[in-house]
Amino acid sequence: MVDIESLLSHALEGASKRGASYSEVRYQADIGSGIMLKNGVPEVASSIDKTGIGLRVIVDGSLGFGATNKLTKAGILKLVDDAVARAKASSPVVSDPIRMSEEQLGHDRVEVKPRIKFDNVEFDQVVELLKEVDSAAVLAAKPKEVDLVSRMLELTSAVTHKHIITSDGGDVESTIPRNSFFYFLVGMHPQRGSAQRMSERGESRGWEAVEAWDLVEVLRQEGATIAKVLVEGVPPPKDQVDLLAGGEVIGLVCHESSGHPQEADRIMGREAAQAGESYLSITSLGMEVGSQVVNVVDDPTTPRSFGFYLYDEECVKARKRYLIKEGRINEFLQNRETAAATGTSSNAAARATSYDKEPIIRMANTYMEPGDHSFDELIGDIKHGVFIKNFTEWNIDDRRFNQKYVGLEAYSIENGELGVPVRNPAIEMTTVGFFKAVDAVGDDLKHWAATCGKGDPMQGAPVWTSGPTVRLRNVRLGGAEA
Amino acid sequence: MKAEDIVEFAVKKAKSAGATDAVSQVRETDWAMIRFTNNGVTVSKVLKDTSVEIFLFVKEKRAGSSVSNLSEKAIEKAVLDAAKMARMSPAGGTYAPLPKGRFRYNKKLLRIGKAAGKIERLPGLVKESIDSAKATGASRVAGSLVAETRRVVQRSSTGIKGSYKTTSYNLNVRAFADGECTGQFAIIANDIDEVNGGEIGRVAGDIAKRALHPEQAQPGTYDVVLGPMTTADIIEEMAGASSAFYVDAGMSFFTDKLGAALAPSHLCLVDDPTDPSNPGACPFDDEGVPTQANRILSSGKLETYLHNSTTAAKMKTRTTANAGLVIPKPFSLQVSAGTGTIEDLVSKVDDGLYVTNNWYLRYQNMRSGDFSTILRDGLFRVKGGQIVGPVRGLRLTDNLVKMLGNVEATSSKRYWIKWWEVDTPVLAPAMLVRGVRFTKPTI
Repeated sequence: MVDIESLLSHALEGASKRGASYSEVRYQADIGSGIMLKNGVPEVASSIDKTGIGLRVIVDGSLGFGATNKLTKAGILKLVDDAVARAKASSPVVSDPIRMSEEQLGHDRVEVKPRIKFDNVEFDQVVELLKEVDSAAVLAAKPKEVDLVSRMLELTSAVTHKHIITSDGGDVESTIPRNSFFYFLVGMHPQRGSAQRMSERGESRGWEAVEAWDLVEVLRQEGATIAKVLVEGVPPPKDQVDLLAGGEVIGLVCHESSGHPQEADRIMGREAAQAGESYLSITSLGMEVGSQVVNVVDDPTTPRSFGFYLYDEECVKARKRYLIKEGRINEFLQNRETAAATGTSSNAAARATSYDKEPIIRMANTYMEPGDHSFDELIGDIKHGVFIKNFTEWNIDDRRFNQKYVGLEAYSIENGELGVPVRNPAIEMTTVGFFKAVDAVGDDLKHWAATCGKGDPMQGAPVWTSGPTVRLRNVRLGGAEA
Repeated sequence: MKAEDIVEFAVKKAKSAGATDAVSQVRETDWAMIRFTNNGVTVSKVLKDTSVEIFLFVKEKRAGSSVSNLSEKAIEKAVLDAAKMARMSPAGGTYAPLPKGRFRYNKKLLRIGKAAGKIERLPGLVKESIDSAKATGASRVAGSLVAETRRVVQRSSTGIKGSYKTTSYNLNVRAFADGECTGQFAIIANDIDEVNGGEIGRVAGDIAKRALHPEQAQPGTYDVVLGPMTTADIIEEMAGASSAFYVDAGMSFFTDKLGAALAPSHLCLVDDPTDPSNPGACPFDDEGVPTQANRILSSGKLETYLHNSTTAAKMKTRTTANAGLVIPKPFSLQVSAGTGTIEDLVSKVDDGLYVTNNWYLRYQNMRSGDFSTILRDGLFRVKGGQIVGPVRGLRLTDNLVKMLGNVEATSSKRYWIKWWEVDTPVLAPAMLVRGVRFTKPTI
């Protein structure tokens, strides 16, 4: 039996002896399983056990990261040698010596206990659920002669166990179960063409989450909606409209246009050659980027959330973070490296998705804080507009300023009432243009899950993107063309 | 256990657990990366890792396990988990047994690239690219350099037995003349001597410098010259859409288009992992079948989908040796070269754009090919066959099938591109495409 604690101690001692001024070692085991259903047929079932140790060291101001799954004392000491050697070799090319901010570090154990363990759910029960879900979508689209020609359903569950210790006293162990459900659908109608929809659910708890999602009903609605939009959808209006954006759209906007540009590592250029930088600078705190009713939060501590954690990968205690407060930039997402470089404190944003990935600044659960308007109040005050409930396509530039979200389920609004379905309305606006057009925020906060990509090598981090329904005044749906 | 012992052990355990067929693969990775930003190194990474993949069939029911714990006990558990999942799965679709070995593999593909003693050169190569980009006009330079050696050992219950080792080097440089005026270039090669840090830095720096003082672009429909970075991204999307898995799933804009003339006759797209000088080259696929060169687009016609044994059986054809055990995949893509330079392509554009890079390509509809992608780095207005100045702020919003049909010419010079947005190495030229639609934000 491998004594993990002893290996972790060996790593820190070895790094110190080899001249590291800081070191941090993380044991991480991600153990899980999943099944994919393709067009109603089980495509493949899979299990994964990804277990190993990741180590970060600072040597002569140069940061080194190494990882291995050779969990022996010799394997770990080789890892230390390699990480220290590579950091030393690069130190002449380091322009700004790396250091870590001083923080009150955690010494704690965190465990999320599932009510129903995945292991206690029979595999054939999972398959039967997926088949029922698939069938519900297909049948719901049929009455309008829409064939769901492409259906991909994936249900995955995993438990992540971590033990992290740092050379300056951090020591945190955590066990968190997560499950997620991803679906992708394409509907086709012989005369009206095709439409695509994908979305994800995810939570940090046991099988009880899957039961609570009521996936049969979710996919029944999706099938019916695709059919309705395809058959009855009219082109979006070209004139100026008021826009009701659903919580799913708002959650993604907050993630892409507030969370990402407020990651301090992006702002400081660390992702410049890959995911890019930010339209903000490190001096942008207080800058007005939205109307006064816009408050955007990222909170890792939300119970059962997909991005849940109580301590980050640097052993800093997590807390709720106000990214935008009353329309102004309030704080950035920081780790100990960016906090030290900018003279502030970490707000526990360092995350790594597996043992072989370095901790970098990530969001957890990002959302617009709900206001006090009911849906009826929001829509009742719109004479001419569009309600975009959810989306099918999106992208944003690498400074996080020029964004696009194409709606899937959308309806016209005339004199305060929902009208006919609208097909492919595109929100193509700047970040500031979008947030400044918000004039009212609903009270109906809801959550969606996503896997956020960042880093090099790429790391897909579990997050929630959440929001209430939000009203924007006087916008044009696009994008703008000549 | 040694890799050879692990795969033997896993296959044997799978058979005794009731598997009809089983294949196991061990991947030993020795990887180093230097990332740099603001003219200096931000982190140096190393990874020494061994992973074990087991894939088995119980008749037509399939399951796979991946495990990084190399103990006998852990591997046995992974095998038993997979066997249990397969047994309990309801009957799936088409069953195709794993191909029967042994095969003879091309000996030139068993050892690809040069590794020994090269890792010490990485910091110097990084410095060279930074200095070169700065000398060309950049104020800030960022990027990454990766050296990767991977050894693959594979066995199957059907007699497949093989191993190979590959090494590659991947340099990506982004130069900033100021915050929004940037240039980027990337290259992958199997020999570090073919990675010219100074040249990559110079290209990125030159684009950044020429991108200074951009004007806001107007949306509309333009003729466009796509640089090799954007060609690579779009071609990788097309190769992905040719995977029979996505075609069968109805998730591909190439569904029902086999044999159709989709592009002008001068355009070919080949997946060729059989030349050891090609990045991505390998002797066999994940089913152990010897790789082959596959012409996805031949003289503009969609000639083949990419298959493994299962998708081939379902479509009543033969595998193209592109397994992925679940999803067939390309290994090493090449777009046919034309006759002129990028400047020659630009000279054919009366009113258009020259796009040097893009990112964040997403589909409004994978089935139809409707998509959009953000243009990043140098974007230039072309009038009367000449670049007249930099512009910015556009999104390419169009349809990939339509764009493929409108490819008028490709450049003679091609580059092996791989970077954050392009996973599969692509030998990409610049490409002239007529009538491409661009949009921009409304507020």
